[in-house]
Amino acid sequence: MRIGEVNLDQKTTKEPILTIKGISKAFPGVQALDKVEFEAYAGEVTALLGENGAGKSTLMKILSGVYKADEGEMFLNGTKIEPQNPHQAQELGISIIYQEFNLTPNQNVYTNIFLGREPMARGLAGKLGFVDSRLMRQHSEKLLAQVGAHFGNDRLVNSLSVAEQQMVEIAKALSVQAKVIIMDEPTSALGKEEVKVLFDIIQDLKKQGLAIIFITHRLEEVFEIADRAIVFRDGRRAGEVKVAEATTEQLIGLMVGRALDRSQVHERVAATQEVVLKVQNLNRKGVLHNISFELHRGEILGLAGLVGAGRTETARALFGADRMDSGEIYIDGKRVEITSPDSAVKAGLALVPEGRQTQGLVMIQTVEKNIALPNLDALSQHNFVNRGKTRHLVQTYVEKMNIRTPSLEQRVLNLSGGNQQKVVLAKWLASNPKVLILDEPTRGIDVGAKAEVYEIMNDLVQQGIGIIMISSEMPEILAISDRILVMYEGRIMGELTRANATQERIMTLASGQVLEAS
Amino acid sequence: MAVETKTNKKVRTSFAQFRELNVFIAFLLLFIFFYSQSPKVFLKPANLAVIMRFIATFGMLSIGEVLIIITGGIDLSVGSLTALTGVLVATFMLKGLAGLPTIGMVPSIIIVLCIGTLFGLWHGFFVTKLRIPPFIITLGTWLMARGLASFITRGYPIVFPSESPFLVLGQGSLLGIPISFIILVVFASIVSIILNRTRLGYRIYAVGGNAEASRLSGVNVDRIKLFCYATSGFMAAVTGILLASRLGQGTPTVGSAYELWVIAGAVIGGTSLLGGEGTILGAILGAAIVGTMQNGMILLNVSSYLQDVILGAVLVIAVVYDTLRRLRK
Repeated sequence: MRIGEVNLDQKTTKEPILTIKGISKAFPGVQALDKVEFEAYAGEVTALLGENGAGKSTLMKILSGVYKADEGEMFLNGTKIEPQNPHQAQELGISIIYQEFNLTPNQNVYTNIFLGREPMARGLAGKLGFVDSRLMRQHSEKLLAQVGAHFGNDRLVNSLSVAEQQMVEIAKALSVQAKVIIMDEPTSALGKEEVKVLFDIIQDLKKQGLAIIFITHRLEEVFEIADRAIVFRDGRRAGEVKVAEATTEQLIGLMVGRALDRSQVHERVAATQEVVLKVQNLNRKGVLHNISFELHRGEILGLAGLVGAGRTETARALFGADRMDSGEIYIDGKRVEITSPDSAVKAGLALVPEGRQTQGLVMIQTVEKNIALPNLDALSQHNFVNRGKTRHLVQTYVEKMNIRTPSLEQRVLNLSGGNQQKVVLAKWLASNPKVLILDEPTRGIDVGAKAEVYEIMNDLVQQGIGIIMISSEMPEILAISDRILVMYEGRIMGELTRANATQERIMTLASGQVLEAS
Repeated sequence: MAVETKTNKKVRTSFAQFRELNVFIAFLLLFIFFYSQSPKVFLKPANLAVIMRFIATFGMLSIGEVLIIITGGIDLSVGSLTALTGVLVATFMLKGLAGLPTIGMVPSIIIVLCIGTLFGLWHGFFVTKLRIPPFIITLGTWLMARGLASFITRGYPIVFPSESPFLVLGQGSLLGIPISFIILVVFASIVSIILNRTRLGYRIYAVGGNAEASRLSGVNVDRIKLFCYATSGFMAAVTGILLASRLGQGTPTVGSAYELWVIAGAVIGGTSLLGGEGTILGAILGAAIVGTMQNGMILLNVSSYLQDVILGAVLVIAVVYDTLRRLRK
C-alpha cells in the first residue's frame, strides 16, 4: 500500500532500490533497533528523522557495514546484501557521508577522493604499486564538476572550507558509482548559503537517479529537500509521511510521540534594564573589529550571522579562550581582566562551546566527573574533593535537568547527544554564572531535548542570568531572543529587537548589507 | 532512580577494582610459577628483598611516568636521569662538583632532588609553552643526561666507601623490608591519594581525557602538566639516589632502557597511552611483573638474550589483551 502511494509520483520507480526488512540490533543494555523496516527509492530523497537514540545512526551503520544486524534482511535492487565492512558496502553502491568527515586533511583533493581505491598504473609499474595519478586527476575533475565544485584538484583538504570539504566527501561517494548515498546531518556545519549549494547538489544527484537518505534534525530542511520522511522512535519505525502532504506538527508528533507545545518557548518575563555584561571595543586582529554591546540581567541576546561571521570568535575571546588584542569587559559595572578561561570563570562567565564532544566534555569520563570539573574549587576543602558534596550537587543537576543516565558513573560517551548537551549545561549551571554564553546549544540534538534546553534557558533568565546565544537556526534565534545582534565579517552589523526582527532583516544584515530605514 | 544509581555504582567500583585485580592475579601466578620452578631460592628472604628492590626501582619511576602518560604525554628521560642523579649525588658527597668542596649527605640529596625536579620542569616548559612534543624533548634529555653523567665521571663509577651511611638507603632493611621499598610505598600512597581524592588529581585525569574541554572548564592545563613532568623528574632523582646507594656507586651506565621497562609496566598495568586512564597501583603492579620476571628468569638461568625476548612477548600479549578488552566493552 505504501508502494502504491509512492507510485503516484512519476519521478520515482515502482520498486524501492533499497529495502530493509525486520532489522534488529541490541547493544548491552539497549535495544537500539527493534525489527525496523526502511525503504529508499531511486531518484528520491528519503529523510530519516527521530530523536537522538532513536536508532537512525545504528541503522545507517548496519547499512554501511560498520555494525552487523542481529536479525533481519537487506535488499539492494532485489538482491540480498550483507555488507561485512564499509568497503564492501561501498562496492555494493552504498556510500555514507558522516557528520564528521573522513578526509585526510594534509592531502590533496584527488588523493582523498580515491583514498583506498587508487587506480593503479598500467603494466609492471602498477604491479609494483605505482598509482595512475593522471587518471585520478581526470576522474576527480569530472566528479568535482558533477558536484559543482569550483576548487582545484590539487588543493589540500585543510585549505578548504567545511562546505567545500563536504563536496569532496560527496565526490568521493560518487566515485564508487554509488546507488545510495546516506548523508548524516550534512547541513549541521554549514551556513545558510552553503546549505543552498548542497541542496542544489542533492537535486542534481536525484536527477541522476540516485537514492539519497538524508538524516537531519532541521525539520524545515525536510520540507525543502525530501520527498518522503520516515520517522524512528526508540528503535522502532514510528511512521512514514509523504512530505508534500505533511505538516511540521505531524512530524514532531511522530518523533516525540506527543505534540510539542510550541507556545512554551515564547512565554517569558521581559528582561530587566540592569546591565550585567558590557563589552567595549573588543578587537582581535583580522578576526574581530570593535565589538561593543551590553547584556542585561535576565535577557537572552541572540548572536546571528553566517558561519564565519565571528560569532564563535566573539564568544571565545570574551571567555578568554582566544587572546583578545584590545577591549574592555565589565561585569556588574566592574572592569574585569579576562586572560584565560580560568579568569573568565572566576569573573562569573560560562561558555557552552559549539563542539560538545571536542570542547565541552571529557568523553571518557563519567557524568559526575564532567559536571564536577569546573566546580572543583567549590567542591574541595584544602585541595581534597568532597565526594559526598560532589555527588549531591551532581545528582541535583541530573534530576533538575532530567539527564537520562543509568548512573552518575556512566561515561558521557554512552549518553545520547541531547543528554550530553544537558551535562555540559549542568556543569556550567552548577557554577552559578552571571553570564552564560551558549554556542549552538541545540545543534545535533533532537526536538524533545531542544524543548528541554529552551525550558532551561527560560528558567535561567528568570533567575536573572544573562544569556548570549549563538545559533545558526533562524527560527530558533527569532523565537528565543529578546534582542538580536547580527554579525558579518567580524563586525556587529546591527541590532534587532524582538519586535522588529524578521528572517529577512537578519539575512540582510548577515550578508553585510545595511537595513533601509523603515 | 536512586536505587538504580546505587547498584550501578557497585558494579562500576568492583569492575574498577577487578581491573587491577587482573594484573595482580597475573603477578601472583608469575610468583607461584617461579616458586615452583626454584622452590629453594625464590622465597628466601634475601631473594624477596632483591625482588622488592627491583620493584622499588621500577615502581618509583612508574609513579612519575604514569602521571605523564595520563596527561597524554610520555617521558623517555627517566632512565638517563636515574644515572645522572646517581652520579651527581656521589660526586657531591665524594668528589665535589667542578672543584667545589664536598658536601654532606642530606644537602647532597636535597640538591639532587631539586635538580631532578628542574629537569622535569624543563620538560614541562617545552611541552606546555613551546608545544614541543614530549617524545622529542624528553628524548633530548635521554641523550643529554646520560652524556652529562659520563662526562662528569669521565666514564668511571664513583664508589662509596663501604662504611658510608648513605648506603643504608638502598641496602638497609626495616623489619626485613628494604627501605627503598618502604619509600616506594610512601610515595605511591601520596601520589595515589593526590590522583583519586584531590582537585589536582581530578584535573590531571580531565586534562588527559580532553585538554581543550578542560581548558574551557577553567583548568590551567599548563600548570597541571608542569606538575606531572616535575614529579617525574623528582621521582627519577629519588630512584637515582636509591640506586646509587644500592650499588654503592654512582655509575653513568646505570638505568639504561629503564624508561622502556617503566612504560611497558605502566601499559601492562592498564594505563592507556592515549591518556586519561591509568592508576599508580596498576603501573606499580605492572612494574612488579617486569621486576619479578627479570629476577625469576635469572634464577632459572634463562639466557639474558632470551629474557628480553620473553619480556617483549609479555608486553605485546598484555597490550593486545587490554586492547581487545576495551574493544569488547
